[in-house]
Amino acid sequence: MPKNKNSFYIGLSILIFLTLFSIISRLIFDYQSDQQDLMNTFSTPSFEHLLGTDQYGRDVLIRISQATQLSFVLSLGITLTALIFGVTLGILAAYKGGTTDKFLGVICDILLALPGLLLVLVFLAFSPGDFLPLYLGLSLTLWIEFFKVSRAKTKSLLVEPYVESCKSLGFGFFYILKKLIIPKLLPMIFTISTFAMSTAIIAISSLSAISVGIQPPTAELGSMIVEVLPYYEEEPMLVLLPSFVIFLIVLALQLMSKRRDYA
Amino acid sequence: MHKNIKIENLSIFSKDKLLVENINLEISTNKPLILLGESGSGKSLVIDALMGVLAKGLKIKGSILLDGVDLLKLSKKQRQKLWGKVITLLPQEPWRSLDPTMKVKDQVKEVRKFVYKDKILQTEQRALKELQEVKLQDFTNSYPHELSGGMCQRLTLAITHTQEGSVLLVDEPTKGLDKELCNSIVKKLNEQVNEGKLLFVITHDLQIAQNIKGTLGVMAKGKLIEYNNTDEIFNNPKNDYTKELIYAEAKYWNIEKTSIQNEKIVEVKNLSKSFGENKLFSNLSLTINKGEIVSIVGKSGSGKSSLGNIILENLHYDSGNIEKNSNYKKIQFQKIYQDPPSAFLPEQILFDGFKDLLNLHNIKEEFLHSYMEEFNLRKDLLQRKPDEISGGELQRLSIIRVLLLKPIFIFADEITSRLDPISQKEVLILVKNIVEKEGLCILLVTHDHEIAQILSHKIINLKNYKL
Repeated sequence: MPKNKNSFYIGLSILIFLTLFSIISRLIFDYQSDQQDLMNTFSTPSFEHLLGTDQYGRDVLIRISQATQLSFVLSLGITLTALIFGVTLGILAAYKGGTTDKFLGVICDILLALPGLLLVLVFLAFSPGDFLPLYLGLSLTLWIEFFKVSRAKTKSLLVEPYVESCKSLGFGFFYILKKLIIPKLLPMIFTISTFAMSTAIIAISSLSAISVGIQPPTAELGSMIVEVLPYYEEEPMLVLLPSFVIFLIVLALQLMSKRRDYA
Repeated sequence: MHKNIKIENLSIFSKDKLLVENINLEISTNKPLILLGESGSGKSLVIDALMGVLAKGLKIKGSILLDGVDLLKLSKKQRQKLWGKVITLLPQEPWRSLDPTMKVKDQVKEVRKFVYKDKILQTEQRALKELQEVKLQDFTNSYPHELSGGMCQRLTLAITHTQEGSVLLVDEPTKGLDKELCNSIVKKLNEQVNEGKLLFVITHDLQIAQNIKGTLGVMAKGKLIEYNNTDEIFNNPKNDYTKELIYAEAKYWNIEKTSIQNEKIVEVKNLSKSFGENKLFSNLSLTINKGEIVSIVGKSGSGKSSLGNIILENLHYDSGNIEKNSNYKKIQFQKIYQDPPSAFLPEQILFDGFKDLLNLHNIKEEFLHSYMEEFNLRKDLLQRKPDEISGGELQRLSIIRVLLLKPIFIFADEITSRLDPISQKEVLILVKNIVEKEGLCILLVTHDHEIAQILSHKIINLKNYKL
């Protein structure tokens, strides 16, 4: 399927471009993201400030590159945590069956009944810092999909005669895991990961837009949009740039999810 | 009603290969045609050509005359109009072509409703009548998954019957069915011939070929190698391949039984097993000695496989007692599967699987190679994946895989039901020889009573253990 392959590579190149952008811009310019220059607010793009400055005279380029990096790293961390827990528990539930399976299923149902953002709010109430509640809350909502898919797929694989035959030939569970279950799960997990990561990025931005989670002055795409909203008439670029970056990351992830080179 | 079909000089070829070579066949009323041959011999292509559903990219030469009209010269639309009204098809493994969400009665009704535009009340009566004829009148409101394979086969037959077509094409009618059901299908197909239909059957089942009297064609590698009256071919086969095929039937096998030794391997006492309401068997007792072959026969779903799986501890039992000779380890009790591809990890190169097995149990690779030689298997087969080699070859490999573990007991679950008659003979004789040579015992599940009679010392008919 060459068409899908292409879209995967387009998505990948967008991500690489954004990464390079955020690394290189910080190598060239030696500003802090919260370094104010009140004499120089809303300056137009110049060699000193490639994308101009905002209402406090902070360099927009640096703020965007830092915010991009933050979103990216945080959402990747959240996705990986969700993936590791979801897949491990999913395989465990399918393999053990019985009470383990039921118990994990019930936990899933309980979490599904709560809106994901609410979970973050709950964590905010009793865990300290900006990142930890976001990280915990979002991982806790996102692992469910990994769990459900890997549990269902593993279950259907485990009843195949070749699993029984492997066992009777003396192979242990880890052999079956390595040779059969993981290879079959990988492509699915990859697709879910890209979806989970886009969800995480949008959730982080939405939450900081309503001043939950990451607080100013830390540069974050969502809060950057909201901060400059009052000045939208004069400086529309300041609102549009972070939105465009969010759009690019999510688009890139969605494009990558289409890699279906498995049958 | 049409009177005859003549297939003249039919050749089918793909880009670089001749698949069917210059075939001449004739079907007329009271003279059905049976085309016999193994999979890949090109017989399915002939049916596809007749129906007009040949895969894209295949070219066709020659002519197919239905009462003198060349079907190959008709447009695609004109040919599609024949479907259901003139030409009807009984597909292979019919349970796959039935609508799983539709009641039995409705599946029969829809033919009259959509192909013939009958009134709804009429279709209802017609459907009930057709279902009565195939003795499914008690299942009109059931769904396909509630029917057995044989019942599904009868249901599709009822559906094709409502189509009133004069040509009936039948594709492998007994694939996946018990031998006992085959006879009833032969009877049904013969009835269709008596009604004046032009019947064309392709099969690799010798019993079907022998019992539908008409013309028999034997195909191998795209060629029609023998073509004559059915009885003539069966009594006096001329071609070497035909001879091999006919003499592959169990009644022609000339073998001696293995000799039993005086060492008990498995002893089953008063075993009972049921799935929910369904009692499979009760009070079943059985001893298997070294060197012995025991066969289990019975209808599908009667618990043949369950018995073996219970002995192998893959399945729990309700009550009774199973004793295994404690001189042997659990790993020496092994199983060979019905559908060879499903017993190997898909996507895994066969050699990789074997290597893992050899490493796991510290077995020398020489053993594998000497078995391969003994079983007449080329070494390069190991470099392929399970679905890239033939069923017969893969089944022999799975026997080797088990033999490497020095087994004492092998549960062979319908190991030849998916193989053609020649491979079936090869594999079963191989199994018999290893019992003799390696000194082990076998519990053989089969639905072929003849095979059971010839190979085994004891036959367990599960019918006798029903309550």
